Amino acid sequence: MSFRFALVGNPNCGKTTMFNEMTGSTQYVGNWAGVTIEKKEGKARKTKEDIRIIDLPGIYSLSPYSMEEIIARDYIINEKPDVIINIVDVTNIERNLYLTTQVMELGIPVVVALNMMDALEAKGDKVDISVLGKSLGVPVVCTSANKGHGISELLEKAIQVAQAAKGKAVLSDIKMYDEEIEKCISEIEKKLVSALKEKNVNPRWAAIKLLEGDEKAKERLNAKESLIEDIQLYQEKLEKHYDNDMETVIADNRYRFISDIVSKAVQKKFKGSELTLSDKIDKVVTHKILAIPMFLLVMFAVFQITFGAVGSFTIDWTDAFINETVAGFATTWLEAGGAAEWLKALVVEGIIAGLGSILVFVPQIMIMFFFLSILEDSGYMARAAFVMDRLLRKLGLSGKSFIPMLMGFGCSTPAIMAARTLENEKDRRLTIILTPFMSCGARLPVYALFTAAFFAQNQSLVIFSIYLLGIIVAILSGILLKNTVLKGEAAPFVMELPPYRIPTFKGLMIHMWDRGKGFIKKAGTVIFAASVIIWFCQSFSFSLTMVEDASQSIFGVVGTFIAPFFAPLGFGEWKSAVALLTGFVAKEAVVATMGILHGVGEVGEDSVELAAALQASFTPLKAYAFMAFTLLYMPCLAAFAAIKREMNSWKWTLFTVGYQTAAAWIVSMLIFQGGRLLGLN
Amino acid sequence: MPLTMLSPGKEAVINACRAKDSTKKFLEGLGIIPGVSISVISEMSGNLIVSVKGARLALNKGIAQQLLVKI
Amino acid sequence: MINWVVGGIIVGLTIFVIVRTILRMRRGESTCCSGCSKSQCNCEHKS
Repeated sequence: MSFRFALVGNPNCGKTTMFNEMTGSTQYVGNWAGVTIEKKEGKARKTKEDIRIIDLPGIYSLSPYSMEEIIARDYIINEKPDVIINIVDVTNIERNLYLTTQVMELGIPVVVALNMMDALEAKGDKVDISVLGKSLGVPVVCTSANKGHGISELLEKAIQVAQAAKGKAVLSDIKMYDEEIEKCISEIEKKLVSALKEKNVNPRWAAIKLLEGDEKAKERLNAKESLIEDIQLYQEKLEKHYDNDMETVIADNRYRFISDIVSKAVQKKFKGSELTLSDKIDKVVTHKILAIPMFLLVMFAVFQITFGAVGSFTIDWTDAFINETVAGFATTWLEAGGAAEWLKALVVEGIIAGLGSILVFVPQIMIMFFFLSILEDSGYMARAAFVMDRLLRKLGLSGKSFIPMLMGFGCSTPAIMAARTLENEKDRRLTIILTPFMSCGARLPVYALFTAAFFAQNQSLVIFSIYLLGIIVAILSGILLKNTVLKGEAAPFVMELPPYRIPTFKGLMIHMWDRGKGFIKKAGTVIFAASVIIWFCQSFSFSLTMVEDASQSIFGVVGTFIAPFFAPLGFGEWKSAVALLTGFVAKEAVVATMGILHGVGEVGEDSVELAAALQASFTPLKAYAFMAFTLLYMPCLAAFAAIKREMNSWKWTLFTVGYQTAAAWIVSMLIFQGGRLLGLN
Repeated sequence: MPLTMLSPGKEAVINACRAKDSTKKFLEGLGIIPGVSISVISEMSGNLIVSVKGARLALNKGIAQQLLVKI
Repeated sequence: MINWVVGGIIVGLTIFVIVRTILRMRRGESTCCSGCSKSQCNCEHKS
């Protein structure tokens, strides 16, 4: 037998952790709402039956409000999974059960997983699951997904339920509404049964949705005008009776039903509303004056550790390994095999120099993301979004834009996709335009390379300032765009703040390993191909003959042609121009190009350190202007494709990359020319 | 009175929500409906962290002004 | 001999990577890999 189980639950209730436990995959888990925005499917391990688990985005209710809620709701209603596993964060049971009350009505078998039981027990509270199960009319299983407890029981239960139901609709006979409403529902239901026979939906669910006046449901059910009008009469009658609109009345009824169950099934050790530890921490980190300086301080500390002693040590070590051991071995091996000069050059001066100049930074990048993961997993980043809301609102964005922007520090592509969680189209566009200004991980090797060569004394401070520069440019751009092309009100900001959690070692390791693995994988594929092509373009001329002098090569000619464009920014020589050009493929390619063009990797007498080679053609001021340009100019090809997809318009896509490149040029020019006026070098 | 007037640490009951329909629906999913008690944990230039049904929610000033509460 | 073997492998791999990247991008998948640990990225999992 094969079944499909869908995981449904509130954001941040542990669905993805549950999914990982069930399927053995290592999906990204974060401690904030909205980490999962697309549905994911996996096969359950350790079960005899063939079971597909579908992880849906977290939702608060089945009334769609934002994109991720629509994805989740559409999946449940259209694809009809065999069982819905409704994950309930038991530490926040009343709010979580609201979704349960809606899911129960769909006519699809439901199993409730009371998750985070360990956290509840730690608080000293108790839940009587038999009372809970009886009152809800669905099976209830206790789990602690983060510890792996209760998962197999949950799956077993779900399989039982699926086998019992055999694809037929199960109708819950729980009556959760007031008598008057129930009476109307059953009357409408009767009318619907005849009117909607072919539609394959649960009539009770349809009746409730139509009574609520849910527009999307009306559209879907495609009900006759006369029927809608008929139902409208019921709605008006009830609204008059309760002196409130129908939606609120239904929501109120559901919450009352839940409160009733919870008071019977849950025993709380502490009643009352004294401040929890989380609240006390919140009072400090969201302090009126200290909040923003504290955020900056925390971020600076991360950079200080990453680029301080620990980070530099890893670079020296990996550098020696790649440029001496690996390059030396390759040279010896190729010479012994009787390889031609061109092949030796391709391998050593092309591939090893190109890949090596990037792989050097893998450990440093992993260290940085280790610390950022601590901040995310602990729940601090969600507070940072709240703190930043005030700042973002000044640019006409809401704090919700902060999350895509924060993800932009990892990689622009998923961050641009995450902008989907914004309901307002103008906000979404603006967020997409601004997100690439957040410096992504791929740009880090460029800064690491240049700061090591020119700002060895205060590397972390300079890199931190580059990150800040990105944020400042985003702020200024936000103000500019909001007052010109993207006028409009910012959407309201409502976000659940997760309780602080101590990050698990396993979780941190998964995050760090993912980063490192992704980075190496990209080096092995995209950067490898780029290195080969870069090497080819700098070794051959347009007539496809090998050249001695690289300035006669394809890149030399192209670079010389576009170099004047960069002259006002201080780096108007062809090598830098070409490096920036290749950066469009992937930002790391800037470093790879520099490595290849400056002849790193050649072992022997004329071997040069890349840093030393750069010092010959750059000054600290020029290096800074170059880093600023790398930070701001149009994002890589993958991000470009993502922008095109999310904007769904060529006009906006070209505007976005055009704006970014213009901003990069202006900012770099101001830095270089301004610096020169101030007498800097 | 609007929620913005409630001082931190005090508890009140939600009376009405004046937000537009889609926002209102979202707030209902989060437990913000008339009759529910709400308290302010901390305030930062008008933006609030509130406690509703045991969960902590961050609300910006605009929404807080649209929520009417009574003590 | 070694020239053709090693050279051929390198060129073949390069073409393979380029074609794969283009195909992926057409299908609307993410091709970003560095820093692609967020769940929205399609690097790890193809199920």
